[in-house]
Amino acid sequence: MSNSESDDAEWQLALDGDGEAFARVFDRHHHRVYRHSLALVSRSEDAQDVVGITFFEAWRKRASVRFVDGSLLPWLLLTASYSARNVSRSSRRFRDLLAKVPPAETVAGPDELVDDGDAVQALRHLSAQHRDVVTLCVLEGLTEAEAADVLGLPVGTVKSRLHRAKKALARLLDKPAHTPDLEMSTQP
Amino acid sequence: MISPDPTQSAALRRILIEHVEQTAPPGARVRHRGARSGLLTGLIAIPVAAAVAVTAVVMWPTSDSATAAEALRSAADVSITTSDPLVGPGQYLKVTTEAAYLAYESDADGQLSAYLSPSTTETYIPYESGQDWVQKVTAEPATEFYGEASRAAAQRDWEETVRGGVVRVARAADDDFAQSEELGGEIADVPLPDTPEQTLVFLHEGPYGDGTDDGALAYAAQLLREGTMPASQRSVLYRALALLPGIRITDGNAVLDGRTGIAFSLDADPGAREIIVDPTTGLFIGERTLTAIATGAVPAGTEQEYTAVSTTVVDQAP
Repeated sequence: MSNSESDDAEWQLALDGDGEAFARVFDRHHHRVYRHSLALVSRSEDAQDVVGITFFEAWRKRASVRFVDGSLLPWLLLTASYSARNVSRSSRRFRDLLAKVPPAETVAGPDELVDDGDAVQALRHLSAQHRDVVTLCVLEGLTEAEAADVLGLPVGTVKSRLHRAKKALARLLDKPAHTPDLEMSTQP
Repeated sequence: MISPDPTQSAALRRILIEHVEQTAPPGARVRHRGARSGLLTGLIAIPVAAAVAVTAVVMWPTSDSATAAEALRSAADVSITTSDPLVGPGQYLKVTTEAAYLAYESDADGQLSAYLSPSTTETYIPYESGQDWVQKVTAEPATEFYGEASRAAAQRDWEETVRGGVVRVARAADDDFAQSEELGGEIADVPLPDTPEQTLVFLHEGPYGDGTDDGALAYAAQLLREGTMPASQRSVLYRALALLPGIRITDGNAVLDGRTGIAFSLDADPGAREIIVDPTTGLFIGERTLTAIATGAVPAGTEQEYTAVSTTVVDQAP
């Protein structure tokens, strides 16, 4: 099987028990999921856990995941956002599997944790609903209709949330870069 | 650009391959686990307004914190006396959420118009553990229009919604909904602490975890709108909100989804979230957010987001 197969094509192979097909989806997206997670949690170790949780969740929910133009990435990012809200609770279900992952040989320093800048850091201060539409429509460039399809919502709902999320982001980013509020998000 | 630790990633990749190959009988449907956990208490303990003697609606003419706190404590007192009938074998708890959002449209000149986009979500929660939950989301055409461009925008967006499906029905084992909290989410299985003080700490540390009172109110609203909280926990939650120094009554006669209640908010922002509670039953009616100022064709005080929650017991799910 070629590496250029879309995620949904790989998914069909994985559903038939092809672990390498699932791994190719992992290869394609785990860096992006990791960076997204880093914006939402305080420690790189937690971000790595969120990556694991996200892909285990994808497999657990394999019958209901959604693809956009053949890509699983929007679903993965939203699941990572959800998992990052409470890493310890989210990891409970996969405790045994996550325990098999060895400790990191390198740990990201504080400078690296703000690598994506204040705009992405500000995601952490948005409500879950607003964060989801920003992730899909702003960071991933999906149309409102595509985001609505991924989220299972009317287009008007996505449009409304996006409008309000952008206003909330603007309020957050209007602050000086290192106000206490924003600095708080980078503390362990 | 930072990258994940390569050793960990390689290990995770290997574990995923093993996990997929060990758990993927071709075509198998994903099922999981047996007994439902602590949420069962919430599921079987639903409030029924009819069980409560209805008293006169009390109007609250002032909006100071002390008055708001008193009203919340009163709602807590009424809640605790509200009957929580059981969902019986073969039955479902049906949580209906009527929601509407103001969808904005900007024209070439930057002028804002908007329309109100409503939808209804019905969640059917079975008594029996291991049975599928069912969630039905029904989109509805726009109901309110602000500005000339709003009708055309509403029509265009509605056509997109029709293409995606006006009615979407999802099923999932237990609370494991793909579409709950819209995706990847689950209905929260979170027992509240026993005291108002501890509950307030819990709300401050919740998923909006910035420690602010606004975040605490947002988390409280999220828990309440799930519609599965028993009266005893709702009572504690109201008492916790009464401890917020900025809590106030913004409307003593707020109407949402045809029901009347008291709207509570924080006084930091006139466009802040309001939760609306029926003072005669202690039931949570819903939440709403109004526009703080006039923007484009949308006047100040317009509902820009609301959800109204109600629960019933039914014998069948879609």
